[in-house]
Amino acid sequence: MKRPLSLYLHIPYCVRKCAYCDFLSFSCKGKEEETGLYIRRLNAEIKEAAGRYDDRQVISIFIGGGTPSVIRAEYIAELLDNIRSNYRLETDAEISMEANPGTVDREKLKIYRAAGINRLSIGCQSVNEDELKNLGRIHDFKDFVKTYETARDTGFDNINVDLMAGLPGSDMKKLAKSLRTVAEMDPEHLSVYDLIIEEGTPFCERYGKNTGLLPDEDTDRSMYAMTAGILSEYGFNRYEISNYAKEGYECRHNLVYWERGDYLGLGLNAASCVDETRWKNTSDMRKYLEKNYITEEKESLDIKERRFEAMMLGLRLTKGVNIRDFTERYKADPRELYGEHIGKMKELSLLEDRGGYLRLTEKGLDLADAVIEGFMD
Amino acid sequence: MHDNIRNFCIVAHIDHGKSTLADRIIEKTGLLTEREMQEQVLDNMDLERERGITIKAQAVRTVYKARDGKEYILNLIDTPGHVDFNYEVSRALAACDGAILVVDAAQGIEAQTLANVYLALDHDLEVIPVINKIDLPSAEPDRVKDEIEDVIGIEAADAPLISAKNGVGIEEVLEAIVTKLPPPSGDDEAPLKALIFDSLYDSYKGVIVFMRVMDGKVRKGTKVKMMATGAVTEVVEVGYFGAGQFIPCEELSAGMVGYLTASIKNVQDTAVGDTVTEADRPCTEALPGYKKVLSMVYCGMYPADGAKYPDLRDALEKLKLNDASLFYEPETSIALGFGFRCGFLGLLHLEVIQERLEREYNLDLVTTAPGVIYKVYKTNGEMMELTNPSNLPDPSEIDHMEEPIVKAEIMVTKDFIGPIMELCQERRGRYQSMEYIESNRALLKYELPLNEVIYDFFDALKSRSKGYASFDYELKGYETSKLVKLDILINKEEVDALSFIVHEEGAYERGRKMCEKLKEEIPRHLFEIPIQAAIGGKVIARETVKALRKDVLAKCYGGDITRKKKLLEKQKEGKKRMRQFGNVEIPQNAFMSVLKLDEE
Repeated sequence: MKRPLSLYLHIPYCVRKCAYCDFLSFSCKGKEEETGLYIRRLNAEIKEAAGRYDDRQVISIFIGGGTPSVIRAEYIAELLDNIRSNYRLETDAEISMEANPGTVDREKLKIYRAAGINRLSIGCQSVNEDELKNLGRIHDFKDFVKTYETARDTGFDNINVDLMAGLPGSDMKKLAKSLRTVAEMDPEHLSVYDLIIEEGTPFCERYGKNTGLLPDEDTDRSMYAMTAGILSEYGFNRYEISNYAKEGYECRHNLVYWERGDYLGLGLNAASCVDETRWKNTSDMRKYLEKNYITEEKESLDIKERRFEAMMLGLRLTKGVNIRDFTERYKADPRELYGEHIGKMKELSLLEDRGGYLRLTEKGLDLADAVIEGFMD
Repeated sequence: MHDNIRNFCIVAHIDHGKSTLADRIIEKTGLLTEREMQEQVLDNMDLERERGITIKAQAVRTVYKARDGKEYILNLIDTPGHVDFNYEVSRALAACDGAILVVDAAQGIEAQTLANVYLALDHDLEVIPVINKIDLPSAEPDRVKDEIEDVIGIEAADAPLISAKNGVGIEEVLEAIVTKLPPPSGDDEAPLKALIFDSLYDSYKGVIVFMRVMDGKVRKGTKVKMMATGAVTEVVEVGYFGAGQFIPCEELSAGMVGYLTASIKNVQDTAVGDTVTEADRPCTEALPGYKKVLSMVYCGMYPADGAKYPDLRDALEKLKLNDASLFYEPETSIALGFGFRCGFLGLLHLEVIQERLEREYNLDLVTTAPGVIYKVYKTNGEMMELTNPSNLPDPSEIDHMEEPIVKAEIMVTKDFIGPIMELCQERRGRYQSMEYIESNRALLKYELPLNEVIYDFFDALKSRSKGYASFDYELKGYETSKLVKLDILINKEEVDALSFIVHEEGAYERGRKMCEKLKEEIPRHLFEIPIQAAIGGKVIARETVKALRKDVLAKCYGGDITRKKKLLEKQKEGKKRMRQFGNVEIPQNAFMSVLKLDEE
């Protein structure tokens, strides 16, 4: 039996683009027809790829975007039916979907649930109205609460809520309020991402050169430490740099990325990694709709790359990199492979070697990229 | 005799329109007579090979049909326009019989106007003033005429009023050249005596010598001797200067400006200012004024990528072929690895060479703080000339040190006299005199240590006078001075490439500023980095680069690992452009930016 497979489906549509976002997505306004065609193409791609993976067990599906919940709910059901009839989908596979307040109602949620979606990821970002407005979100906090409660009502028992930290004008108090308010609603999983000012976004114009308007580094790190503290009070465990879960509710699909499992990305610009080869679909919508999926940046990973990726991704998990598993899979003990760098990082108390795992210390989590960079040759 | 030849140059303060006027003259005259045009066509094959050579000295021969109906050959010798190249300028002037003085109708006389015009008068050149930029609304030609007569003391009443930009009055300038400038004198039959005013290396012909024949004749086959360097060689070709081309001719005789080639491989053999004569029938004495050119300013130049050291060496070798005043020798720095200690005529020369290395040879360079030559007198009676601060002997072995002093002339409008005097005081200047050259402007004379001038004096002068001050200097000599070596320690280790010599009084201030500047330049690391300035082991200033607090990008969406890797690679790439020094990465810019400490 081959290694299991995970599927990622990309729905590149939103009501409108948020001011900080640089994901590949387009406004869906007036695009009824294009959306329909896109889903037809996506279904065709799903079917076409199936033949290459008929010996694989699909253990998770993630429908992301964009905002997958802006398109007709029936489309989502169609996609999942298509997968079910063409892939070996495990009975208790994790099937996640992103949904944004302001784009779903009870009817839609019912359809998702019936179609087999068993994990919902809701973008809340903040409970503070001024922050939501500044981010360019289309919803207010009340909309989020309504979406969340309706989701519970319609049978979703595994919900993630996305929040953002390091927002312009934010402070410890505002973030604490967001964290506590949401934690009290008792979701199973929370993602708290730091705002990144991405080039080409309105946020970059507003804050790229005025970094003084953003929380400074010291505040930012205090916010990060506070996040873990508050969420642990509510029983959330930080299992990855930005992800927190109740016991047993870690996102399986994301774990596949971090543990270098095989995944197949379907849809515009979707990324795949199967059998140590990475590729990406075209980001050109016109080409995609012409059924010309074109894989770009196809890259076969040599052993050095694989090892580096294993460190880069594995260290994002708070448990760290399992030394025995690494040694077995990549045919070398990381402590010997990266002895000098690991030594240096340990000396600076950024990395520790404990219980058979190499992992970032609390301080190391703040400086993860600097630590990881050293594993690059 | 050569009544139809005029050899002249154009002198001006920077930006007063010298090059524009030169262009207009060339454009207006047409470069060649009909007969010569024929010759050029005949020699086409030779010319093809030479196309694309740029003439460094911008000597050009044009032909002008004057109002008196006669054709005149005009040899225009364009001089480098900067104080760094004073010696070159003086040699170019020596090759001329007259000079056109271009003065801006709005700005009037400036420091370089004076310096250049005195230089021209020193060479007994006939000077014709020309008032340029009369099209400017702020032009005051009458005031400027008075100024020329009052300050310089030359007749300016009928100076042509021109706008080189718009091509107005060019004919008047040409007529003034043929009627007011003298033709060259000289004896065709006397032994050859020619002045080298520039030379250029060409990969086909070897060194091309630019010269003005004073007496005698030279042609293919003449056996010539360079009187100062002693080199003897046989002439392969003589000719004169077209626009961007060399045009061979039969013979050059007294009064003519042209070139010779003689398979000379080394530009050192044809020093600017030397006299060319016949080997078998030498002239009795060389032309006056020859000087061996000495470098005034030194700095270390290192390839940013250590592996490019041989490329840098080759590039310097090639530039040296064309530039006798460039000096270099290998040196090693703990911080920067293998590189060269290079000597220049001045800071501009340094910048020109640096830019040529970067552009023409595609090299990425790290340059250390420029310094001057100090004379170190040791207790054992020896004297050493110090060009690299790291080589300073232990203080216990030093009896005393001397530094070069320059005589500076600064011309400034009344309102800024105060700030400029203040600047000169700060730079350890010694006031000499001040005279008003008109009611609103004064000429300030100071003696300044050269090492205070070479950093950013010029920039400071400009900013403190809002651009209204102009400046010129010449070397006066050496004087005893209380100098110390300032060392910079980064993470407790001395960085040799950042050490420099400074006067005791300014040491604390400079050390403090260096530390502040380095603090800005050095990125935060995973640990705290102390930056210290020290004199002889005693720390006089300190700053700290705080440890990095955050370096983590959270996103890794949709499994797009490639994007994440690219971000990390970019981050890592950025660090490659830094110099690893112990555990600390120092950006290459840091070595340069510490030079610009004034006027923050």
